Amino acid sequence: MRDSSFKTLVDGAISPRPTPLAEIPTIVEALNGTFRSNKTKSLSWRRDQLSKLYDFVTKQEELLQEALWKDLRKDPATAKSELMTIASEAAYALDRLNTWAKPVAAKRTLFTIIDNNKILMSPKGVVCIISTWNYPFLLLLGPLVAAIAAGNCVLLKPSEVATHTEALLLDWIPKVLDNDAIKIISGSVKEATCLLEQKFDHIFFTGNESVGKVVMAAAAKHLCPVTLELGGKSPVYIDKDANVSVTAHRLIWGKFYNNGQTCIAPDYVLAHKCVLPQLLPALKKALEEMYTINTRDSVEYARIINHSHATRLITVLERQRALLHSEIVTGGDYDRDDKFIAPFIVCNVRPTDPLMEDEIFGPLLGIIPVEDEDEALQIITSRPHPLSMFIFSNNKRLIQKMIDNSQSGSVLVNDFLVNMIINDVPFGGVGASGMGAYHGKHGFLTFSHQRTMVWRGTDPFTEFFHGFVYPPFANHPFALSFVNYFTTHRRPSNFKVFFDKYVPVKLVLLVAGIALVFEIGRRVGVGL
Amino acid sequence: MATTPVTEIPHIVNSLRKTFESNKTKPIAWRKRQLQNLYRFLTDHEKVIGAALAKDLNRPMAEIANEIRATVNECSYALDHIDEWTKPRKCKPNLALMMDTTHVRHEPLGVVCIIAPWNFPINLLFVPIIHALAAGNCIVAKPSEVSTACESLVAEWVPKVLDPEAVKVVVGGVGETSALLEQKFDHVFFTGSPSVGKVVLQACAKHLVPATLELGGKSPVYVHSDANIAVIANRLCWAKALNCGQICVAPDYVLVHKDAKDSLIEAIKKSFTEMLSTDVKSSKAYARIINRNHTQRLLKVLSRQLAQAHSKLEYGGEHSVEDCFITPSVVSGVKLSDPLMEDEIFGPLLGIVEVANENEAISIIKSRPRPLSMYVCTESKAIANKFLDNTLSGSILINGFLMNFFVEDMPFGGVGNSGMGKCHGHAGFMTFTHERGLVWRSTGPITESASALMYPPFNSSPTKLSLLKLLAQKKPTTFLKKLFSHLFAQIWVYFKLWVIFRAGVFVGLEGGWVNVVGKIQKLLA
Repeated sequence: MRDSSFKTLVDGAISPRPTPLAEIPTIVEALNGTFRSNKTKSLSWRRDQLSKLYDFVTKQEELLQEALWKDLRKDPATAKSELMTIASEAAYALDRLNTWAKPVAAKRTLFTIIDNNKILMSPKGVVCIISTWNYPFLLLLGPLVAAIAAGNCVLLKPSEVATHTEALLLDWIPKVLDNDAIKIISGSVKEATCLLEQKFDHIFFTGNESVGKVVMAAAAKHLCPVTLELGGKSPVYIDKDANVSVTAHRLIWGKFYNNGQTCIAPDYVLAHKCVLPQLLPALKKALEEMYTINTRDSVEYARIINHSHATRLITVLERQRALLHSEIVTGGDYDRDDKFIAPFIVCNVRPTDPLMEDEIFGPLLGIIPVEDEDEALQIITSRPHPLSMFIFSNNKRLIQKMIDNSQSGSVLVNDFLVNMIINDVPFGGVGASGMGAYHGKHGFLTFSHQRTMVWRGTDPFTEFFHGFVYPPFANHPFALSFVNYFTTHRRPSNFKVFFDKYVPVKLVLLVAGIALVFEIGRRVGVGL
Repeated sequence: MATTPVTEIPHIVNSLRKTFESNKTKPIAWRKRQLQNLYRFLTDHEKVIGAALAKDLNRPMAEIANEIRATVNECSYALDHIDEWTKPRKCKPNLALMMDTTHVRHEPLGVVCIIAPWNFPINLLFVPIIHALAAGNCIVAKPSEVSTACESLVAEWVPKVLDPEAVKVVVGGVGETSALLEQKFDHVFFTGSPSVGKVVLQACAKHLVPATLELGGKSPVYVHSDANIAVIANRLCWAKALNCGQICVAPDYVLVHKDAKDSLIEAIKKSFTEMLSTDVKSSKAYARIINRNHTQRLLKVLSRQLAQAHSKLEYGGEHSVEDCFITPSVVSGVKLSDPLMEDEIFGPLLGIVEVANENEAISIIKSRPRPLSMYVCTESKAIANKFLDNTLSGSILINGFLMNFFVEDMPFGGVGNSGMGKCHGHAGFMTFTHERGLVWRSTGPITESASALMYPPFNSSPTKLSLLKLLAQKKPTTFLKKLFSHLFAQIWVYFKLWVIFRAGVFVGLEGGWVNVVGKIQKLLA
């Protein structure tokens, strides 16, 4: 299974050759040509590409795992779950593609009752997917699944920071997928800037907020719609009656998964001050159970992507540690050369501290003690909308209150990260954490244009009714009241509202149906 | 109308944000009350609204009724469906999360800005307001400063009709609009031209604000040789003369098959004469152009077009700048590089371009930016399907014009140069809604044991991974599995029916209902 020529490529050329700038417009033009040829619109083509992608992710698992190990030192299990998510996404799309792509019949009004009204799911055209380095396969191939399912031509731009995965994708994507419709380019800021000058029909960007603004501004010049999957400081609230041991386990897992380099990782914790005495030892215990005492030797503990990010995190860590009020729970060791930072948990953080400035995106966790959920809510709502928020409590009323009074991309109660693996839940931010959503059908809709179709007859019957809107007759009182009568959507009468609300029609029909079958059965029985 | 002072705009947005944070707009009852108030206003004050529309655009009765009715319909449609729309949607979980609650909540976005144009000053302002209210947002509404009568109507009535704490009107021109766009909104809904759309989108990019742009574009008409010419001409003339051609989805130019050209032109002349009589200027069925600037712009385009030797004026051409009046003017022999084919016309001028066949028409349409709407007139399904498969536009109508605007269930919006995002019906509601995923897990021992599969270390238990894979990874359903599940579903239905039937037979053989009751009584005794 393993391609030996590829192995040398990965080991030898760490930085793949960037795509020449002059080539980028030609690539986009070629993709436009493919889209115009209607090749990508056929369902069989989409299904074929999706199965090829599925096979690639499942059969070349080891190869992909190796690249992830080299880039982020991701252990096989974390790597596998990343690949598993792509495979699930592809399988889910494969199963439902026919249903998604089918035109939806629109409800008719009396005015359009004789027409054929449909909503067609048309592909948008040539789309650009710009990905990032923390989950270099998932965040590139996940949107790719949706774009293929919708029938688009795609230009992929993997992150140049995750060098091994970039090299692997550059080598394999052209081999695996249709080279006419799906192209991949490599490069850094210069190439990305040149890329954004091209006219696309949709841009799907995953990354941070400042680059997101640049992408959107560039897209605005071409009136190109964008989906931005950004990050943000996702808060955790731990209530006084939370199940401490479970909470600690899930928190440690959610935070140090991929070394904290996850867009939906918990960023800071707001803990009820009564829960702190039990929580801190529980966190230490869970950490030891999962990553052993010597975290550095643990296979499951990933590394920071590169030296500059490690330096950034170490600066934050040192600045936080220098503050007198911060109470270190565990960690504080680091090795810049190994890109290693031990899990760093610090308590008594204040909302103005270094840890609370930017998105952390690393293994540093600050805990802010709060008086009650109102204080926590006040801290959460005073900041930009996060991508995700987490509530740990067993008090339903409190959870409901927190959900109703805050805004975030998604909200998880008593867990982390799991919304990633449910295909039916839209994944995306709001406000500062992005716009647009994907996964499952939402991804398909992101890359589709819902084109409405009205197909009228030209027969005399249709034309007779159409005649009521033509001037000068349309202004005749009779025509006016006729059209008005047939096209006004009336408010339902109070009786209908009451009937709809209190009489479960389906249940009545079901009971009547059962009684009917019962009665027939009885009569037949009597006849026997 | 006194314009809103620029310095006041940040305060307006801040006060709306306070209202939103107080959660006042979130209860469904509040939203319904607002919609009901708006509904009552639109139906009770039809005359006042009609007068404003007649003053701005000299609208004929039928067109006034159309615009108000489309708005009212949208309002009652929203009222009827609001419970269904706002209800959290249950998601299908996968095996690993079987026992958890997974929902999608429909959350309001916050404070939204709605900027309306002047061509349908009531509908294009109130329809987004209806959906933003239904979704539970606070609103800054900016009516167009060009349609002055409607602007003052909106500024006067909206604070009376809708909750003044949650809906505010900003009055003014370009200066006020740019001051407005400097504010940080949670969504901007803009209806207007593509060039202004770009400016709006760039302003939004600074604050990462999502925007819905309802723009226009040159919507093409293709008339095939087999089209029912008399009917098509009637519909085309109706759509073109409506609101004096000032509609974003108005037919902009006609691509006609060379065999149908002469008969189409004759039929168009006949239809226009029938509809607007020979004296168009005194016809009560014909609206006016919004102002003199626009009239002069249109006349300039027309005279430049007629200066081309190859073009011929087939109908119309009369005009009066004082009265903002131009008769519907049909020009034949137009070439693709002509003045009539440059920008969106947005007025009663219609260019007719002759094409050899449908393939030429498709390639012309494809070579231009994607239009908001396109119209194909043919009796042949094959030709219509060719257009459906080979082109992309906001909407496509076959043998019909403008109809999609009146169907609430159809998303209305452009693609590419004609805009982004959707309005009308459910799509409009979703525009102003954030779909917030909610996963609610328990902390019980069963859930925790499933969760523990994901915790490191993994080396100690290699079965962990394979178990997790089994629970969480989806595989494409094989044909056999699909067949079996289909068969099983069928069998299950028949099985249920059979059980009921057997029960009936059983009771029947035992001698009717009475015996069963007797037996139960016996058992109880």
